[in-house]
Amino acid sequence: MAAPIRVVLAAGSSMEALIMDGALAQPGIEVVRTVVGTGDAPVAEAVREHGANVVIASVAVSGIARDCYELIRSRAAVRVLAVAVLGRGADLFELRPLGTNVGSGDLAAAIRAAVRPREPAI
Amino acid sequence: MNGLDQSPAHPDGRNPVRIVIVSDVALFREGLSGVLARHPDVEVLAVGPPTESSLVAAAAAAERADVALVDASTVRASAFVGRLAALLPHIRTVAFAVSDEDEAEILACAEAGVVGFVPRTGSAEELVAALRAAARGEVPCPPRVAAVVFRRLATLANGRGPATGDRTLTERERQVAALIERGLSNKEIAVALGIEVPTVKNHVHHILEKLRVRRRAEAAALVRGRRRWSRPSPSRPSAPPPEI
Repeated sequence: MAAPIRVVLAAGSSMEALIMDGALAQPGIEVVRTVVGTGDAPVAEAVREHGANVVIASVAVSGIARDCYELIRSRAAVRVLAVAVLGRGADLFELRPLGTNVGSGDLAAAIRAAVRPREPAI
Repeated sequence: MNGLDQSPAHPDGRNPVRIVIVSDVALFREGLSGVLARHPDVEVLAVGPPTESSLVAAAAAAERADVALVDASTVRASAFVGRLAALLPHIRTVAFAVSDEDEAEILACAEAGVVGFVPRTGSAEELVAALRAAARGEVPCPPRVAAVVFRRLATLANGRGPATGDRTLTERERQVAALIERGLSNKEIAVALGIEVPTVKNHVHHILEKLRVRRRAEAAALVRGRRRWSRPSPSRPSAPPPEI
């Protein structure tokens, strides 16, 4: 029997953490640690300590411009790239939806897909 | 999903609190159901979104239910609670994920008939305790939420009413009023304050009511006027400041 996928939850509130924990009560998935809030940023520490494979991070919608968020949700053909400036550096991300109005089954499926070995790049 | 998902009866002989869970967010419904299924004190009869069809299904489930657990962040939460209370007066409603900073939402829920509140910072034990308390006829409520409700009661009892000018606006309503005065739309205000558009609409409704005006332009003029007259003037404290 394969080892369970170890998940660290980074939630915005304890209620959110509670709900996500309930949603992830699924075969083959184990929530090894829940981190609430961003104050002490112990997520990386939790990942190292528990050898986690996946982090589920709660993202505030208000952190992304509303129009951009709607664009991402609508799966428009346009690609949305995000630039985040931290200190002297700027980091670049691509924002794309893996699912909208998802349920616990979708979340579990995404977690399982995330730990599957990827095809080698050509 | 249009109606509620009917769950099988809980195989527990300890007289659990029988509940229905209502939220717009499928993940929240399923997550909460998963959490509460671990508690022998609670039996989840049904889960679903706050739609008309689920209201009918909720009614069927609620014939046996003691408590409806409603997501406070749901767009139509207070309206749904009101309709549920009218349809099934015996069922007691607890709101979860309540922000104790959002006074307008707390008051809207309380006025709609919510009898218990579980804050965003609540634990599973607090949630279960709130459900049990509500089923016993108590009003489980965090102190800060209770303070908001009591303040409102005092205001109404003193005959000051909710329409005596912007001194009665909450901090959040003052922020929204200031942005209205700057000409921002509801959508722009939502982005600026990091809240949802329906919440902004709720605040705007309360602002218009409290300021006794019908249009946001009138509210903006009122806020602008008050600001001019309240600006400090060191040389002549009693005189109004000049027009800009």
